[in-house]
Amino acid sequence: MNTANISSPGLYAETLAKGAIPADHVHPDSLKGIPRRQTNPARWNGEGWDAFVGALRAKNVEVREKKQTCLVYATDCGGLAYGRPHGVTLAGSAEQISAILKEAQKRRVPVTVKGGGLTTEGESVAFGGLQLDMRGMNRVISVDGKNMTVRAQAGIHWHTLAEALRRDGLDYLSAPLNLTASVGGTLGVGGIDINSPRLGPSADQAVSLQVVTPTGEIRECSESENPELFERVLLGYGQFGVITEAVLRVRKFTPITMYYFYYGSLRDALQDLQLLVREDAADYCGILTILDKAINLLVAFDSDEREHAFFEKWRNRIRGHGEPGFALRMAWHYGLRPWRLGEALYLLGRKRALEPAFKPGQYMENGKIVDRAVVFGNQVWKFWGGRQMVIPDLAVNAEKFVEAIERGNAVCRKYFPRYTLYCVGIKLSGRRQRYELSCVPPDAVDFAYGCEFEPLLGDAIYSREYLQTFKNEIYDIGVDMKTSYYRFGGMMKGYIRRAFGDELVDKHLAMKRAADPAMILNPDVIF
Amino acid sequence: MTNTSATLSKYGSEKCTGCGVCMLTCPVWRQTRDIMLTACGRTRTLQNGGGPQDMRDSLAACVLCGSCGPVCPAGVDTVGLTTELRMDLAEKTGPAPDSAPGGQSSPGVKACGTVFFPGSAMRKDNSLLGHALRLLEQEAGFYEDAEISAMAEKMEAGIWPDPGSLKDFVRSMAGVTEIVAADGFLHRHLRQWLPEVRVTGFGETLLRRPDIKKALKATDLYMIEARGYHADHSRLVNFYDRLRLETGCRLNTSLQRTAIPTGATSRQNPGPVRVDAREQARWILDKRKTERVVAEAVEDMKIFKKIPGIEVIHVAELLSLA
Ligand SMILES: Cc1cc2nc3c(=O)[nH]c(=O)nc-3n(C[C@H](O)[C@H](O)[C@H](O)COP(=O)(O)OP(=O)(O)OC[C@H]3O[C@@H](n4cnc5c(N)ncnc54)[C@H](O)[C@@H]3O)c2cc1C
Ligand code: SF4
Ligand code: SF4
Repeated sequence: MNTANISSPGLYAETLAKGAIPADHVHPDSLKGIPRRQTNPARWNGEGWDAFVGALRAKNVEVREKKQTCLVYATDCGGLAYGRPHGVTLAGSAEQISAILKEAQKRRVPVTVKGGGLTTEGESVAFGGLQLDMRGMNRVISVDGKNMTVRAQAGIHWHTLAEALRRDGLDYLSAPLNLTASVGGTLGVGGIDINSPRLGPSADQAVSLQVVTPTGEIRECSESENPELFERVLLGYGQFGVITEAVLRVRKFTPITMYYFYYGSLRDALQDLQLLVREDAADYCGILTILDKAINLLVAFDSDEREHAFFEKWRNRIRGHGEPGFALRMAWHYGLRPWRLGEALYLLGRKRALEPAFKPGQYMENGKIVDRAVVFGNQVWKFWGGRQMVIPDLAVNAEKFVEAIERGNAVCRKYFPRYTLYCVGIKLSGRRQRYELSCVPPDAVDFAYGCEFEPLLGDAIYSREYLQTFKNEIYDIGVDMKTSYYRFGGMMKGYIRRAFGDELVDKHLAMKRAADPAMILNPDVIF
Repeated sequence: MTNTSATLSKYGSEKCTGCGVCMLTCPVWRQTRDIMLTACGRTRTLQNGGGPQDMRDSLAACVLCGSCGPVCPAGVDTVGLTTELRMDLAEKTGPAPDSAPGGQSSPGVKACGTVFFPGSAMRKDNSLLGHALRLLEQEAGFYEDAEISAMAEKMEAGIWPDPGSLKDFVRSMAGVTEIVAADGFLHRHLRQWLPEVRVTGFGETLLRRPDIKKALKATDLYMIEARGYHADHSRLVNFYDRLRLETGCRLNTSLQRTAIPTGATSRQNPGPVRVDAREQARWILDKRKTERVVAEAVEDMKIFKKIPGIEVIHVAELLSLA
């Protein structure tokens, strides 16, 4: 290993031979026999920071350097990766970001972009250098009701966007269920929702983007204008530019009707979910479990017509029980296993807490949920959030879905007494360039399926090693099954080469080098 | 334990996950997009070992509207924390130069039954006050609340009330069963000081009268006083939702069912960042097709009156008494 590269970080990009990614010199390998790799082992040492800040201030770009300010940015929602930027800038305009990136290229200063900061693997954490807080650009620019699009600054939270769109009776298509993810951050990583089986990943609702490239050019891009850039930036994990504005498709706002079907068998539920996804039986569907015991297939509809059609054509084809049927089954199951009373009580308690929380009176009108994204987003934080979160996941094709989730479930059971699985289908629109080296598995056609494995850590204290070993074991399933992940950057980037192979990774590394010669934009995410 | 770490655990800020949900409803965030000026920024600063002196601007910018409290999934008492941190800061640095006067002795009057605290803004408007009193006549006795208003102002500025005056005040309320307080800032404190007493807002009390509720129109925007609403959110969210369903009027609520504040009721502390109440009012009205604004708070009413082309009344004016 060339240690000179590590002490001279700026030189690293040039001197690294293609494909010669060394083993990580920082962390001992947590998987015996498999060297952990990282593509950018150098930590920036702060060289030239003062000159960089001076140059920016001369251009009226504010850089905050107070310790307490920098520390507020020290981690992301995972709460496991900690870094500290040398300074923070609140994004203000494409021109300001262009000035920053031009100086950063010249002086080889890393710039790490934070949107909502909802990553869990440290992807939005700055390990030195400048943290660019995109939430400074958080406004709706225009709503075009005729063409059903909205143009917004990319740091806007999905919730803020929804709030503004509602005044026009409109809604976005699909977004993560957490309210505080930003549009730009989500378009960069994918974004899934319970309507992804119909509408695809959030990234696919982008019509066009304004992007500041790593070398500081401000570009508009879409399928017809600069399409290469458009395809690179969508699902590009912030490697190929900073998204500053986005035009997104929108739709009419509708309250929805929701049903839950309960399963005792994970396999049955997964297969039924696939049936509904394949046959477009519902406007929204997904699986949410309590352990692998109470498996809940959620089905929802925007219109009465779709709801009636579901009950006519599909209800009898799925095996889920209504609530009374499931309660009886559970009583019988645990009646025969009295030594598992603790588990039974946990399931009962959790269900009792969750059910009203997902149907709060002030959000219900005529039996429909108004603002389901708000209800879900809030409850996700309340019931699954915590100061530390690990949410490893697998994204697979249709054929591998059941096996992957069953294997992942077994890993969860091995590590944690309490956990949840969240599974959805994701509609793909053809073989787009943007899907390459992304959360979309390379072998998925028409639909991909994903599952998040989320242990409920509660007040228990787990070591980072324990949590990392758990994540590794889930990700090993992905390597073994030759598939992909929603979150493969940051702390999990060691898996990229293992999952995708050298050829594809080197192709993207070459593209990254061409786009970002000093390798300064989001250096700890992938490359 | 240091003051700051005691503050941390008393208000639950150590539980903050950094989810940022509190920012979504915060008027300071809406106008600045600066996390350092929000409840999230403050809790994160505390978690990282910072203290009130590291969040001076942030503490001064907060209008204590309380919108961040009910939405916090971790249950951090954001308003309690901010108030306490302001007091911490005031203790360390002395009161702010233009902090409110006060500290005279209690009037020594004993009240009973239901009493009405009109608050300083309504006290300044004699005709509105007279009208409000007539509407409440059978329900509440008027209480000379100048002193308690001064106490509230000082508390908002970070000065804890003089224990003697507070004791006198509590004693004077011995026979009281309900307080109708127009100043929502007082609600949480009154509930703490007088746990046996029912505390309600002026708007809520008037809306119990069917004739007043009936006077609301579907084209009205009913402007809930934010501080009182958030101090008792889980109850009031349903109360106002029913009002909306029954009358068809719009509310100044967000998708989170918090009340979007103008910030006008706040006695903002000196600092570089101040919430622009008119800008908030414009956002509340934006694309809402409102013919008339009906405000619970006098301060809000005044702000909306500065916006041309819209009729604005106080909730008490929904019913004109001959
Ligand atoms: C409790 C919880 C629930 C979640 N639920 C879901 C869910 O239901 N569905 C789902 O898909 N995901 C979910 N996630 C994951 C999370 O929503 C995504 O990672 C998120 O969409 C990222 O958006 P963000 O704005 O937070 O991005 P950040 O975390 O800020 O950044 C993500 C990446 O994009 C980069 N970036 C950010 N903004 C920009 C920009 N403007 N231009 C270029 N690069 C940028 C960052 O550097 C980083 O590498 C959840 C996470 C948590 C913690
Ligand atoms: S909502 Fe609560 S937990 Fe979330 S950032 Fe704000 S204070 Fe912290
Ligand atoms: S009380 Fe209001 S102004 Fe203060 S932080 Fe909370 S939401 Fe923001």
